[in-house]
Amino acid sequence: MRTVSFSIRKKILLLFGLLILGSIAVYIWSAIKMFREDKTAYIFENNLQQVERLKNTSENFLKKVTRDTLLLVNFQQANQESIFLQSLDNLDYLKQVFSLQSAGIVKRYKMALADDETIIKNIPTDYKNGFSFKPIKINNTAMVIFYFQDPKLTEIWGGVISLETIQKNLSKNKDQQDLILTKQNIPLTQDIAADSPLLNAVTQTVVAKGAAQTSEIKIGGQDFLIAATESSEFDLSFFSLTSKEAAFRVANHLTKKSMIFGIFIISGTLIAGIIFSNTLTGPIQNLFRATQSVAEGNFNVKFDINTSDEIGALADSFQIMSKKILEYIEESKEKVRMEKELEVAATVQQSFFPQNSIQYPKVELSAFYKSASECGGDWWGHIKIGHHIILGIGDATGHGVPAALLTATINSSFHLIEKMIEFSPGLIERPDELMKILNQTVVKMGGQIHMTFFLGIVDLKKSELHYSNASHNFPLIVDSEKIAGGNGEDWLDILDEANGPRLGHQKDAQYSKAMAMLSPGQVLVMLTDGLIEGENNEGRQWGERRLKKALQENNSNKVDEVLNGIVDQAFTFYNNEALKDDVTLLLTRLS
Amino acid sequence: MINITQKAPQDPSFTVVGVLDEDFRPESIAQISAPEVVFDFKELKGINSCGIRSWITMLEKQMSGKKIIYNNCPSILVQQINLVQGLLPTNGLIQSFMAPYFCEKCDKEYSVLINAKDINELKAPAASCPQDKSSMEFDAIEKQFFSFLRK
Repeated sequence: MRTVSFSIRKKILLLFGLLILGSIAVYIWSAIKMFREDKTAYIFENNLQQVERLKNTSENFLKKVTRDTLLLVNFQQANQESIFLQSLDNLDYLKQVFSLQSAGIVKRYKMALADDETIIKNIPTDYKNGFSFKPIKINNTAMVIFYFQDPKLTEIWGGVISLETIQKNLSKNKDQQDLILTKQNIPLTQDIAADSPLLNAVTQTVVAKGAAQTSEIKIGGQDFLIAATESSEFDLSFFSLTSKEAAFRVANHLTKKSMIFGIFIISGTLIAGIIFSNTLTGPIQNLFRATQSVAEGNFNVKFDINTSDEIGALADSFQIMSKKILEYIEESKEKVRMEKELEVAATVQQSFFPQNSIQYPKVELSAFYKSASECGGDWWGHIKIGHHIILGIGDATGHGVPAALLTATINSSFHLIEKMIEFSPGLIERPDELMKILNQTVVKMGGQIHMTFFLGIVDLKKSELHYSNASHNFPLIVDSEKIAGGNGEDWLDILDEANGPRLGHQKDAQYSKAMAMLSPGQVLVMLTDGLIEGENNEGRQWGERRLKKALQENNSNKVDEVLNGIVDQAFTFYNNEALKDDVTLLLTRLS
Repeated sequence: MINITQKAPQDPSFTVVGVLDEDFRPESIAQISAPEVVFDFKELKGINSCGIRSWITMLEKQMSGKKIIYNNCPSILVQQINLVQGLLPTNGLIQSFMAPYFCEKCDKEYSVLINAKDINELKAPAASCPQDKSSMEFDAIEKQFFSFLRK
């Protein structure tokens, strides 16, 4: 028997592993990847929007500064001093306004935050649209100083803006840091050291002209997303930095959750697969173990499979099959036992029959017997008492064991006749009385089975045959001398007298007797119907006509030769077809 | 299975159809008051010992004292009548029967309907083969087959 190297359970698990788990894993990986890409795009876009917003709000504010400054300058140039001062008071963000010429500071308005030296020192060398902005420190407070130069004016105007006013435009997000740099890469809004890594990294970022863009930079070993853009109105660059870790915190969190959820689904699927495979293969393994048990000869196998599917039905069928096989084995054992008993019975029955060829002074017997099954229902026998020979031949209804039991009874009873005749010598001439005794014997067996019987007593001295018949096939007397040249059935005589009911048929059956002459040379033919009713493979019986011809063709002085000739012809006709009934032939010839 | 039907009410003629076996019930035959009863066995297909025993019982109990006439007896019934006492009562007779014949020329067996009165000295009447018209041989031992005529 082959060994199971690749079980169904493994195949199911492999199927789950490769197909289902693989599909789920690929799906989860794809979903997470798409989610991260989408989130990244969103974060980058968000950064761009932030830097654009910073740029727009800052530019709007600085444009306001420039408009207000130009308005103030105009009031000043038109000598409208009172309006100038009134307007200046309304501008809260403007902490100081000044004008200067090459000779020095001309005027200062509002608070004197920046001293002359600071104002002069920070005069820019170039302007864009007439304005230039610079960060300064006044009393350690970061502020923005701006200058306005117009070719039509002889003086430069400027002012100091509160840094807080500009910082209002910066992002309030703690994970986001906005930065505005001047053209000289000086932070306008923060107090950052010139050699700080942040500033170095920011200044190295390529700032797109016009359109904003987002890129990744590394600052102090930490990853940042930086969006940068440049002002078209002022010499300023705008930056918005976001910690990548912070930007992707939610995305990473969701990714992590998705992965955990994916692992949970995969684990669940795997567990479901294992449970499913166990549920499916468990009964199969039980069934397999049961078949192994049966293969080892244990047919009384029991197992518990309660599934309502095909495997459950198969298990039921297997148990029924095992039970049936067990029953068949028991039946076979019983059959073997019965066959052995039948063999013994057949052996015992064989002992009922004397040898086939018997010779006494003045008489010879020749007999043939063949049973259709192990035990037959035919019987024949003889007793030699003085100058008498008692011959008997019988045929029990049916064959097999019941018929064989009857033959055993008849065999015993028949041989008791010898003892009876010792006590009642007159019985030797009363075949009818002897038949009654045999009938009583058979009746005592219950009357369920009968026997046809012919009983003949040959008086060798007188050449007389006294007989009685119990519905048995009529014996024939063949006159050998008349066969040759005989006409019709002149050579044949039928002993059809003294016929009575079968043995066992009637409790008080009466039998009669008759006498026929049996001269030396004549052959007494006794047979059972199995001989003439034997069929060939075409279903045709051998029949009385062929028996008659066989008797004619086998005319001999020796009954053995006659008998063998008849039997040969009959069995040649049967052509090995199985006998349906026992065959018995008994020939007797006086010499 | 045997089916025995009366040809007409109060008609003492019966037709026997089927196999005379253990299924035969003697009481299934209607009581007949007529002194003579006729059985037609033309459709009798088989017979066994149990059927014979029941038939004899029927004759003894229901047909006692009546003249029993058998017509169209098949060979198997004739053979049993010869052997079994009582199957044909002492006051019964076979009017017609089927006798076995054999045509040696065409190697076939035939059954020929014969009237009992046509039998002389227990010799089978001559019969010719229905196929080749040649003379057929009697397919049994005449003395044995016709022994019922001696009863």
